Amino acid sequence: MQLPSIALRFEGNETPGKVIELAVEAEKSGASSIWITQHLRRRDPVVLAAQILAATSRIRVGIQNLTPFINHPLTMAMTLSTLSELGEGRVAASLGIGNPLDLSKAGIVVADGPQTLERSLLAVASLTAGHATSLETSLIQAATCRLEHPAPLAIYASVLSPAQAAMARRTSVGAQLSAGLSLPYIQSCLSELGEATPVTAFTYLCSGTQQSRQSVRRKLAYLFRNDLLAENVEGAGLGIERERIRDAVAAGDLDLAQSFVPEAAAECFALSDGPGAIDTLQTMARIGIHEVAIDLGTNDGDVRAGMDLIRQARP
Amino acid sequence: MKIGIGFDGFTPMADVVHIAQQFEAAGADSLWFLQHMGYREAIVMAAAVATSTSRIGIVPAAVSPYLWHPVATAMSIASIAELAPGRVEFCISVGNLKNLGESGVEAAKPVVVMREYVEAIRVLWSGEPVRQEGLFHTLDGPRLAFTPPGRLKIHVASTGPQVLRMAGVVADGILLSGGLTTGSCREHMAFAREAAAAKGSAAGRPHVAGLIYLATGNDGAAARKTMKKKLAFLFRSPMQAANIRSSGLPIDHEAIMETVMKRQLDAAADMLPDDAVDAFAVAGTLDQCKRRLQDYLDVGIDELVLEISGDAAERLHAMKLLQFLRSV
Repeated sequence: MQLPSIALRFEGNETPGKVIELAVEAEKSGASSIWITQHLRRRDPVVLAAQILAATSRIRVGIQNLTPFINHPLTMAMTLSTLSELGEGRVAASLGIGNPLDLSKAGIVVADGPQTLERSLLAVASLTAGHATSLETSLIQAATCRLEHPAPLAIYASVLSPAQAAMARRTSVGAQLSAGLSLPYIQSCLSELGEATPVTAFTYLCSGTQQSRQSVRRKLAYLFRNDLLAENVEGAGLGIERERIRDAVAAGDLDLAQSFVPEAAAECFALSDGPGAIDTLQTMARIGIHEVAIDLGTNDGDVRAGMDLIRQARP
Repeated sequence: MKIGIGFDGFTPMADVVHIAQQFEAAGADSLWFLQHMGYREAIVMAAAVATSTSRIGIVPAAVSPYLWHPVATAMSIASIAELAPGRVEFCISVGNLKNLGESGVEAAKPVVVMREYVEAIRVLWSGEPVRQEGLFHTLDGPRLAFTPPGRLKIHVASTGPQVLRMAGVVADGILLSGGLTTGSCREHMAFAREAAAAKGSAAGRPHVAGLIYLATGNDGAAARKTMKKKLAFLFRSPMQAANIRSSGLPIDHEAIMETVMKRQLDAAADMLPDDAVDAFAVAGTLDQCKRRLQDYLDVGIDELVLEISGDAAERLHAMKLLQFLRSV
């Protein structure tokens, strides 16, 4: 039975104490990685990563979705290289365009997103590998940078579309598929990747209780505020009014946003726990996904379900 | 007077954590992690040390508003403050102009940009949304989903008179640049303190921390040679011109800047006269260092931050100076 490795994902909501408790348990249970997402208002994933590295000994720690629209490629390379040195090779990172809504609140208009991301990916990979690197993006003109103490690490591109998957292949980095993608949409992204590309897929875990379904719908609502996910949402054929979700999230009304996400969305865009979960993971392995990073949720039942799944999938 | 230890990003991470723990055990008050472009990153250093110490103050420092977005910075510092409640402060600076230029960033109008940065970060830490039509950053209502425990102090590091005057009014304190002559230290303190007094700053007199470059070891001559290299690296900045002039020494600043930017640090160090070590820093045997430290103590700095050059053993050797500083 071929299964992908199972990783955990944090989104900066958890207190430092909770992060350590879950990270240590995940390592003991056999998880391959812990990924922490950069959200523009929550806890800094870099700080949490340093904390996890100090408390664990084997597990890989990744920073997910650093955006070049907030982070200069040189500062990203400095941060990641220093973290990699601290973690003695246990560190990975992904770069993504970021969420246009959050970025606009931070005063940033996303222009030439794909090109800026591609050039930034190449620059960060080059800098952390120890090369003097020239860079020009929509944000930066004619920069030449170098790290004095480079420490290489695995770099991924955050992928929300087949076009971004093709970019991951062009730039020779790993691919990190966003949470909230339907399985058919994941397959269309994978078709753009080469066989050698490392692939991590993010997913929300729905343990099947009403509370868990509500929690997943809320997370999907928050995720679907992102215009870059429009094609994925519309392709599912569930009649989801994504623009109303985006407007509700922008207005800070998550309850309203959640009401636009139907119950069926939890089945379509998340991993359902139960007898079918292992089958789904097998399918994911078969189509080319090497690692699945699950978002545990906040209630105890979901956390237990996630840890059980990690143990079941342990090689 | 408080005693701090500075880390400049040149030290391997394993040594950073070990040295930090040793200085905490020896009674130092604070650890300052200075951001230098292209070197080890201050937020990571501070976070790693915050998790492995229990008492000592933690200050990520010299973070430039031109390279680090205020929302990301507010997140980072607040996150470290959660790890080490009551121990974290923060320090910003413009950054080295030549390195910023290499990074494709023009550091225009630093007085306004630094002030706006301090103001935005304070609002973000309060949990309120920020609306700011700034010169360098425009913020349209972002807010943090969590807030740091307690009020975090913000310091400003600069060699510019106008920035120091702004800091005296807006910030909680200033950090005097490393490698200053004692004359420059007095002058820079006066810029901040006089501005604070003139404005009747509600916070009172700004705290003054002074970064002191220090190198010591059993071989005093070797320590002084190490220091010349350190000073050459510092003098890559055009903002050091007035400080260099204040020493009265014959130093070709332009030639040093050009040589450092070519990354020929040994050659740049050779351009400095031997007297430069005593004019701008503290270096040599322990006795030589004690004499020179006394000069800096006489300036009236509130917090002496020792940035110690050399390997881990030389840094720990310098720990003996802590006892001297505590005794005076």
